[in-house]
Amino acid sequence: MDFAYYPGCSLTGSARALDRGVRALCKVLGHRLTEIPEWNCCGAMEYGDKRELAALSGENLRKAEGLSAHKILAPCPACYKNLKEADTERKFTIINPLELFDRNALSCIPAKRSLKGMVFTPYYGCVLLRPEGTAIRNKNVMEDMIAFFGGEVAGERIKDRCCGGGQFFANKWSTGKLSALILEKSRGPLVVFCPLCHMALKTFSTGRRVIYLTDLALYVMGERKGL
Amino acid sequence: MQKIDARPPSSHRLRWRSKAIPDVQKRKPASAPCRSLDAPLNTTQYEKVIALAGHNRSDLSVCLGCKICASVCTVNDLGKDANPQDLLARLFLGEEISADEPLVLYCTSCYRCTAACPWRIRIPEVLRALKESLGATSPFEKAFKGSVRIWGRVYEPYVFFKAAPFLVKEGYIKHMTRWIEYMSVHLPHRVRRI
Repeated sequence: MDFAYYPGCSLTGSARALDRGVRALCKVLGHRLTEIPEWNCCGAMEYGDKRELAALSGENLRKAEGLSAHKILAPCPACYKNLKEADTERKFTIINPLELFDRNALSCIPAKRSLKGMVFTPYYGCVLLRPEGTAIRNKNVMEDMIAFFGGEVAGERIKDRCCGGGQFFANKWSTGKLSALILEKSRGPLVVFCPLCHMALKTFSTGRRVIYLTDLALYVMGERKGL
Repeated sequence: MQKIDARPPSSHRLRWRSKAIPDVQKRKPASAPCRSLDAPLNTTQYEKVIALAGHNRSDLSVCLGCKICASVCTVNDLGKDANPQDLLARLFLGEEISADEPLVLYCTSCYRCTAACPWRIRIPEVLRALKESLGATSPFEKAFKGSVRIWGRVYEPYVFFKAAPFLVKEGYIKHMTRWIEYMSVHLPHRVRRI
């Protein structure tokens, strides 16, 4: 399928790993990504003025109109939410890569390794699950994927708790406290999909691994050495 | 058959009334006097916040006061006393909200309140608007917006260096060893108008 691709600012910088993973997985699943030309920042969660925020994403939607694809793939949860909210006329279908990993897609991934005997804690964070209007449809997609490849799932209770990432660069201690709560109640590597959750949990985890779901898929496919 | 009067004898009633009414009248006014209903409300902050958050006036007045938002609020996990419903009510009644409220300081925009709210009131957006109207933005946010103004995108090295005094002061530097995987050398891309 053809997608207009909106990587977002973090995926060109600190979350390059997620960008690489999404591109690699889309290639495997047979999706063609065309980056939206000259896309701009979506404003993330930093703008108090709703109109300013909507204008930023509106600009991106306008730029995507020139492309033939009417489905926009936005991996970053904040970008995904902002684009979905700005698209009031429903001209596009805004999709998060998590929504691509249904059962059919999972069976298309050539699995060279199994996750048997390993425990993972899927962690969605806030924006992928809330508010209802902009949330992903299948809220167990990470669990499904881990179980499909033979892994064990833990930490059901903390999957939708807040890691405090939104406060990371304002009140570090609050993020530390909230991330510690999550790390405490989880087992094994934390599997995330949000660049900010990754940063917050990684900063405050001692000896625990924090990985993107795409890294897990690449590991299963044998394209990544270790987790 | 005798008619049964369930009410207390009239002498009692009288005594009760004669006691109760002067009592109410004698009560001293509270230190913060209750506002009379016809007094003009100070709604400037409210109007401003509502406009910024992209809400209508009616969006907040539907609040049922059930306080389910307070029961799920992440800020309470921090040991701070947070009650979004109370804040909304005070805002609605025209009370001035200060920047040192726990919710204004620590809201993480987790939308747990919105998901729990029977009316799906978007409290985090109200709080972000409130923060903006109070000018209570952190140096990091200023650097973030600065980068968007210059390049149209967030160029992380710029944001990092712009907010460096704040990051050093607040002790972020000690985490830098864990940020190695996030660092990269790349030039900013200036977004062209198309």
